[in-house]
Amino acid sequence: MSLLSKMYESWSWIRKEILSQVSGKVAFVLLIALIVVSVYAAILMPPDYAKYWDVGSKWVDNPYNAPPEWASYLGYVCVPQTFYDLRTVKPGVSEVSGRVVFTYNITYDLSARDYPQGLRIRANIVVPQGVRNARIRVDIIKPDGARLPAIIDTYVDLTNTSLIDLNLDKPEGIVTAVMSAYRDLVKFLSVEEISIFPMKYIFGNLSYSETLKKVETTPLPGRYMFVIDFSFRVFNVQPQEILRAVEKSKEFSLLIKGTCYGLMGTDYKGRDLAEGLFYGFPIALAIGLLVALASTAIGVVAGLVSGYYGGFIDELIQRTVDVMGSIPLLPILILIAQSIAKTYTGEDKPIVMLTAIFAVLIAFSWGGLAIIIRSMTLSIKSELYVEAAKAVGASNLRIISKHILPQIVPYIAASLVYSTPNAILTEAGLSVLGIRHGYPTWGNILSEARQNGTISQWWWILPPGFLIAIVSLTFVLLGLALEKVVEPKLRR
Amino acid sequence: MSNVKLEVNDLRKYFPIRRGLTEVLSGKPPRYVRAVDGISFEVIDGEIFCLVGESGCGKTTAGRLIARLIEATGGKAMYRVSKNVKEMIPEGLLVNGDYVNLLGKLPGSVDKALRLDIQIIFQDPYGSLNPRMTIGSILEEPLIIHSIGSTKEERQEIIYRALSEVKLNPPEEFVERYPHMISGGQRQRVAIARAMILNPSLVVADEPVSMLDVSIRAEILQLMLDLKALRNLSYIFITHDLAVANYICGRIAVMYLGKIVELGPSDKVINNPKHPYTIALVSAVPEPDPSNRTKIREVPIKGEIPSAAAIPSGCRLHPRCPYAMDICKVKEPPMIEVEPGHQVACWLHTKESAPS
Repeated sequence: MSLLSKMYESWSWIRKEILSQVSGKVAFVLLIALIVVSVYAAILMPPDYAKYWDVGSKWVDNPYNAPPEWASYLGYVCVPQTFYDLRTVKPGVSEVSGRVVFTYNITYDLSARDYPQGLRIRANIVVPQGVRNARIRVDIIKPDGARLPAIIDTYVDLTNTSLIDLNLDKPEGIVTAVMSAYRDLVKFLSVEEISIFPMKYIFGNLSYSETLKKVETTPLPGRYMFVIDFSFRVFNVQPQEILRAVEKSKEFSLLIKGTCYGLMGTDYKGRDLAEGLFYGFPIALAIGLLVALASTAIGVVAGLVSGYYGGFIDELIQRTVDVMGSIPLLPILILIAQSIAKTYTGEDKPIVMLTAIFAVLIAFSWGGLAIIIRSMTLSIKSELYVEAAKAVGASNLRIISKHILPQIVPYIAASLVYSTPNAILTEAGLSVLGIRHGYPTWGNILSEARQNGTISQWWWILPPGFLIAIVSLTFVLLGLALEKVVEPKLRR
Repeated sequence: MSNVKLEVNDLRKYFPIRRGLTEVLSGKPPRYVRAVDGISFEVIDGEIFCLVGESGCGKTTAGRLIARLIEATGGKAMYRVSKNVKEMIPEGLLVNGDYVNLLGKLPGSVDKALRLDIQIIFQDPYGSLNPRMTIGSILEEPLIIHSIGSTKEERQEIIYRALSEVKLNPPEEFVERYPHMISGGQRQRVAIARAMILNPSLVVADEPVSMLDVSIRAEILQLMLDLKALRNLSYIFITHDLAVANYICGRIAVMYLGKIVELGPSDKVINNPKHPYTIALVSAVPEPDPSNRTKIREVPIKGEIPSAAAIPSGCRLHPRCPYAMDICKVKEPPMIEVEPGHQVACWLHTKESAPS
């Protein structure tokens, strides 16, 4: 019989035993789910995801601090994210005093009683030769009929280039436009106060209170009209040519940012938390399992050697453990992480930091197990059946593997099971202390919530904690089930 | 010498006592527990040789030394290896053709070969069987170690035979069980089967029945006698129970504080004890005759056995001996023969030859 088939046999036996218990079944299902999700996420994760997550410009389109979309069922007022691809919209074409003007009339229905978080216009258009300049101007007609002129108004000079590349995320002109539309506003508010959140005045009803010297705004639901004038100064160019260029462009769009986003909401940078949590799976499992497996393996081997052989090697291992045990882990970790963060600034910084955290966690977490395994080995070593095995000629290796190891396997299983969530928690704790490697771990998300969030942002705080708890639960249940497998006295 | 299975000469085992820091600094010499302090005896082929004594007298240590479970401090134990084992031992280690010194460092292969030939049965059948292994795998272990039986089926056959030999029938029922599922007597039978499965020629039996129910002691002893009759076995039987010794032993060595004080054929030692200590032991055996029960027996020895770390000078028994003389306190008595094959170490019997 080959070793492989033997291993398969014992594996199928263990699986059968685990599945015969309720806790084992639950743990098994959870573990399979964890592994499947992790593998899937690991395959999907882009190679430089850490950078992408931390400083990526992908998130600018998202609303920040937004609850998930389903929060509307919990009573949250949700303004949905509304996106208009202007390339597919047929504009009205006219020519006014030598300019070609495309007029886009976009209707926007605001049904929720809240303000959208922002406006954004993006254009990436290669225009034909002969277009000298371009102008984008947006007027908004409010449901009450008021017209806010030139909320966005931008010129692009095209004498030396034929590329319009615009990303009007926080157009500076908005505040001025708001102030000129509502001339009374300046009596009550300074420019700085208005520019905190100009959307209030665009999508709201203003009421002035002379006596209290303040302005109150309430959301104004209804149908808004966005009148976008896209005009060009041309020289020998047909309007149709320009229109074709616009339709074939890379991007020309209007986005009205909502207040709710996706499955799990967003954080203060507008990052999609669902994505971060999803990619957190393989990282959490990798940290937990790698640290737990490595530190348990080292601890078991060190403890067995120390306890069984005794003498100088025992003294050496135990004194090493003593020394390691009296070095404070946290300051060391902070020190190492800080120096790495200072030394490596390149692309490989996240992976180097993660590896260093791995190494330090492993190096500092095998000691306790080694002490316990040593004392267990010492007591098992003096058992009569070990002496009996010696009397029939068993080698040291055989005694360790057949007589001592099976006795401590329950403890090893328990230690493995409990140190897995422990490693995940330590990593989370490190993140909270500011040691960030950049990968979106659950601890990392929590730590950013600590720094930049408030308690009302439950969608940011609860899910990572819940996922850490689920992983812990999986391993604890697995440990309970395993205990009965490796301890024959508990079996019947 | 050809019928001598084992000749033990001046066997000693000292366990060092851990010294405190002050003791080390003040340069005091290291102290030892002298568990076995120079014992000599012979085991004849096919004989049951008994080591008898109180607990703490070193008889178990002597047994473990012969079974090579611990290393001796000094002495010699010349063992005549049986034929099948002899091939595995290099010529250089053999003395007088067949003998090997059991004590001291031996190469791994020789050590393994000797384990085939010398086995030990432990006192405690509850401790000597690994609770995590089935009876089958406990018995299979020695076969795997010594590569006896090439296939699993072959080994299974040997295990079945061994189990029925110790009267655990039907064997198929026992191989799958764990030790906690069988009784103490059955456990000891398994332990005996494990010792016998390698076909040894010398078995050290360390109080094999003292932990068992009185009702099954006789069965186990009878089983051991049957096995001896079946194979060419010699036993070194260690016991504190003179009744058991009387039943089973050919010759008896009485030990006191790491020394043999009396040695001879069992009927002579038990019926005609010469050493005061042996006399006390024999008189302490419970009286089976109810009519003698009311008689207050004379207990000729007083006090407790001293610590083996602080052994009295001269004769070790002198603080407790009712016949102690001046010489007993200063000089150890030599072993002398009082009748053919019956030796004793006591100044009472050596008066003539003792220098005054």
